[in-house]
Amino acid sequence: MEGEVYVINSGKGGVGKTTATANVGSALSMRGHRVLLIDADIGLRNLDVVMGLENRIVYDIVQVIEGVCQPQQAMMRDRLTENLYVIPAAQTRDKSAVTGEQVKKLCDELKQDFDYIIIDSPAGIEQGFKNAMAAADKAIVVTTPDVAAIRDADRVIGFIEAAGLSKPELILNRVRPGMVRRGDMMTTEDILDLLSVSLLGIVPEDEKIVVSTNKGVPAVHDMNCRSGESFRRIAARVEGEDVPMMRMEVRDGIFTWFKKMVGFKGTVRANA
Amino acid sequence: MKRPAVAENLKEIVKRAPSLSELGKRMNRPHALETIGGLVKRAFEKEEASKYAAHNRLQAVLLQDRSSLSAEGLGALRHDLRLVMSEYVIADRDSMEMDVRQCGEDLMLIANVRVNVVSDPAEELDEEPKRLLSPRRAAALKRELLEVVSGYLSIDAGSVQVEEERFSDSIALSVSVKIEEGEGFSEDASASHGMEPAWRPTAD
Ligand SMILES: Nc1ncnc2c1ncn2[C@@H]1O[C@H](COP(=O)(O)OP(=O)(O)OP(=O)(O)O)[C@@H](O)[C@H]1O
Ligand SMILES: [Mg+2]
Repeated sequence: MEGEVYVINSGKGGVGKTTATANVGSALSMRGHRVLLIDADIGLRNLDVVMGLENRIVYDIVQVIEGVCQPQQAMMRDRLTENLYVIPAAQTRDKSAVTGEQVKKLCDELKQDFDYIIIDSPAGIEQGFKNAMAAADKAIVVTTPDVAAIRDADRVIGFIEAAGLSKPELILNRVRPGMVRRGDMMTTEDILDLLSVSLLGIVPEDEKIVVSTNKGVPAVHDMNCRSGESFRRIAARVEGEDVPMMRMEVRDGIFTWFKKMVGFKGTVRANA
Repeated sequence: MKRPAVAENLKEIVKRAPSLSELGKRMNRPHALETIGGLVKRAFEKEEASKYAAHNRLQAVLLQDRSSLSAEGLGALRHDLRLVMSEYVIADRDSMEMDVRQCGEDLMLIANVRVNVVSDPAEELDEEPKRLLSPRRAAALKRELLEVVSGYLSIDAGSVQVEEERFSDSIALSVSVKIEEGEGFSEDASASHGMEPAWRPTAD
């Protein structure tokens, strides 16, 4: 059976597209699927380092498209999960090195061998974004809960729909439950209402994302990580499973509270 | 005129001030509670202001981005739509909402007002639900809408729709029209209407 091609967009840069690509891709392969990730951010290669594969690069996507090598030669096998491959972006070229049709032709060909192809799109609404979108069957839009990112997400959603793709689904990244509770961050409902899209998942702001990027190991590999759990659930939803949204609030139970108190006293004594 | 000394002044004030028991008599309790409630509420709202600010500002910005209308153009269009709709239904002046939404591949301008109605238990048995506009009036409203909106945006003339939705205590009258692809403020509209003071956007 032919696989599905997803593109991950955002409009605004730095909201978590590459993080989402790496994590959702890894989680899908952990669920037993054959997955290919393509870094379409030509000139600003990132996915390779987030996946910890920067030392394995031999060929890149531009070389594949130019016929310098076979697609299989450019695919790097993931270090941690089976059946997960990454085609890196070219670092020394610019977006004009490829066209949308070329990317589409490549994906149409590779679809036969994979269950999911996920394209990490560059930010913006320029050529690079259009190239990435040209090949996709479905789009996922990542945004953070701030005014500028949401505005840009709305623009991108408009482009995606105008291109004839189905309504994109939203990943709301870097949510800070404390701020939402205080009323200083828009709620998920507010944002969905503004953008009139459906929700694929909510990912909390999490220091572990930074740690995981430092190591080149996506957060979904850490079973005790909240953001990783969010991405695992997103992967399940991509597959069509109906899983509940993550609860953002972590309320300390009396036991945790007690442990904290004891822990606190312990340190005080140790310092004394 | 000689200003009274501070001490004297204070005495005056104290003398004139009502006694506590008098105050109690003058104030009716619900009112006092309301005031306190209002204060508390306001304190909370202040606390939550930034989320509402974000939401409201985004709503306005997205509307503008989606329609590629200028802020003045939008304000004027809103004003005109409100005028037209208020000729047909009696609605609260501030109840009109206007939005531009992507519906599938179409960009739609949508406006709606809510009209409060007293629900009549006897009427609920009727087969025909009560309507705000007769088909003839609805058709007239459509024609007028077409005229007004096409002064601002390139629209699909055949796409104007007027719909009513019944709620328990109100009826929502909504109108929608499809905006033609890639079009924004039409040239002549910005020239003729945009500058007139009467068309200035209102604070909403
Ligand atoms: N949920 C999160 N919690 C904390 N940090 C995060 C989270 N998501 C992303 N980040 C951090 O935000 C930064 C930007 O993320 P990422 O590179 O995935 O964004 P991007 O959308 O791909 O950026 P670009 O537009 O430059 O391609 C990274 O440093 C990443 O570690
Ligand atoms: Mg990126």
